Amino acid sequence: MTAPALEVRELKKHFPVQKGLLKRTVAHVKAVDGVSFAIRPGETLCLVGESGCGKSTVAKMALRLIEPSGGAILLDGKDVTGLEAKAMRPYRRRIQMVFQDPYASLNPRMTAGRIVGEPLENFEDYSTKVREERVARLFEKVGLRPDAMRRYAFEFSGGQRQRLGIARALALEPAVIVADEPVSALDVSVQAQVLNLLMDLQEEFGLSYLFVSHDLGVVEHIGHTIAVMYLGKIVEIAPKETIFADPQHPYTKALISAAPLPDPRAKRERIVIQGDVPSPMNPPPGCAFHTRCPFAVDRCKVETPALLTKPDGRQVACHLVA
Amino acid sequence: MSAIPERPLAAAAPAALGSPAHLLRFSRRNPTIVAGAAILIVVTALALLAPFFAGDPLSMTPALRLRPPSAEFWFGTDHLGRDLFARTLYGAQISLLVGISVAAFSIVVGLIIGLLAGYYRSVDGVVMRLMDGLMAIPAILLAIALVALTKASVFVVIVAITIPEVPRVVRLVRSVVLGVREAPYVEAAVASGTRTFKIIIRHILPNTIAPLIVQSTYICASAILIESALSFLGAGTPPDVPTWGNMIAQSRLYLGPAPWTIFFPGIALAVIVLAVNLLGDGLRDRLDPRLARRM
Repeated sequence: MTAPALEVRELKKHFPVQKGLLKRTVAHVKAVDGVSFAIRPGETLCLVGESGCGKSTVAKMALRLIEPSGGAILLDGKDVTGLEAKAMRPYRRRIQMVFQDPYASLNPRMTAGRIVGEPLENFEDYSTKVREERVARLFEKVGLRPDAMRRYAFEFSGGQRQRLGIARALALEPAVIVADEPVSALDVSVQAQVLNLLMDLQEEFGLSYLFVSHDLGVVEHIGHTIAVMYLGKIVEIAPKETIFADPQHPYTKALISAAPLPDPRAKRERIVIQGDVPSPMNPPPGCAFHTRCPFAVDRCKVETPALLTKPDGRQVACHLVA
Repeated sequence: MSAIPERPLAAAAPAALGSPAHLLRFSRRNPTIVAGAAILIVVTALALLAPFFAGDPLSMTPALRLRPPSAEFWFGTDHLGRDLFARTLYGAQISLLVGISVAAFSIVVGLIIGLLAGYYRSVDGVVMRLMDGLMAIPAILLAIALVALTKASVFVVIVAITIPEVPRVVRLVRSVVLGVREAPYVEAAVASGTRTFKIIIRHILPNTIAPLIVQSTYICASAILIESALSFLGAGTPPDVPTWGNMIAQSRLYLGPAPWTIFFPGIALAVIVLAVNLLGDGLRDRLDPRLARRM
């Protein structure tokens, strides 16, 4: 078996909460609390969950834009967790990112060609001419006309801007692309185009995606494996087909039953969960989901369920799924 | 369906840059910029061209002392019989030199410190407390101290006024940097391997330019005023140099019999500060309505 393109082990991020003049640390927000997964080359792992569950933090830690408080990040089987900026540079180009906001993630003062060419400038010693040719080819790859290189980002539509973001991520021919809600800011029709572009590129270059989303429809379209996060932890991780056909964790069930169906006459059992996500600063004891779980029993309130591997390979963290 | 009345786009014909039509439209939309810039250009031209048409600002003719404005002496003469017109024009040289130098020095120094303090959070606390300390020193007091320690010269005055202005620039730049460093496009640059120096220069620095241009005009205006105050107090430029502050100080005893001796340098000072402030206000509204208020 080949090494995973990207693997994280027991990744943790605890943000200190500081108070007073001396910045005393009074508590920690456990934004991410022990997340592990592996993505094989050419595969897409989708991280889903409510806002604030830590999925974006995981994505940024994978790129080391945020330093993890614990755990390990492995790229091509090599641990890059503690590497200094200089030692990290060769790995930087193996993992790139597509951002959520296609407006704010492109420098408004730079032309599209320079934005897409910036990673090349950083890593390759190309002459201006060669670099522009490379950029032109990248433009074609993402379905933009190369003569748009001289235009500024604000002259493009939202979908085109996201294509620019994808072209920038592709420039260094990375093995992994982390996409943090790359389509949630786009119109539905444009969403589909961008998703299809991402899938075409995956096929062409054998890319692995870490795809963060809250939209189950999007996830069902693009994902191979789905990881469901709740309050900084993965509660269920399984191949797409099984998780949508037969969700095990009550939270997964609720999420999937809440996703709208295209058929208005279709009936299905809705599991409606009550209340809000508890504060990650003061998570409930035991299973973090027990405060909202319709099936919770006494054991859930005291004992934290471990993420256990089932015989069919899926992993679930729930006492009720034995 | 009723026809929507076509509203012609205002001034649809795009006037060529710099053409008379373009200039006219620009001045109608930005009267303060044009007025301020026009006054400054005239004053600067007069100051620089003074040697060619104004008399000698230093030659004394006691026989012609305290003469009112006339065809020979446009602004009259002072108590030593010196030509006030010439002295006022030469005074403008000093004022402009001090104003522009202080603005340039404080912007350059403040920009560098501000970029570092804003980007590197570890140095921020120390640097900003230092800046707070500097800000507490009054420019006039510092100038008096520096002049007492060294020899009075225009350069010392420039240094003395620059030092307390630097923290204002640092605060402005730092606030811009703090806002921009979290922007997704900066994060994107980090992710694509851009080195820190390049991130600061390419992605962060350009955002500080507009507010700094505006800030520099305010610094320039206040530097001109402080220089005059220092000259007036005798703590600035040496008294033999014709500056507006020196002129007002030396003429204050003759305010009653010869008001023109104070009137002309005073008016010149008011006009130039007004012009710089007009320009600054106009630029602020045009370049950056949010950020560039005096901090």
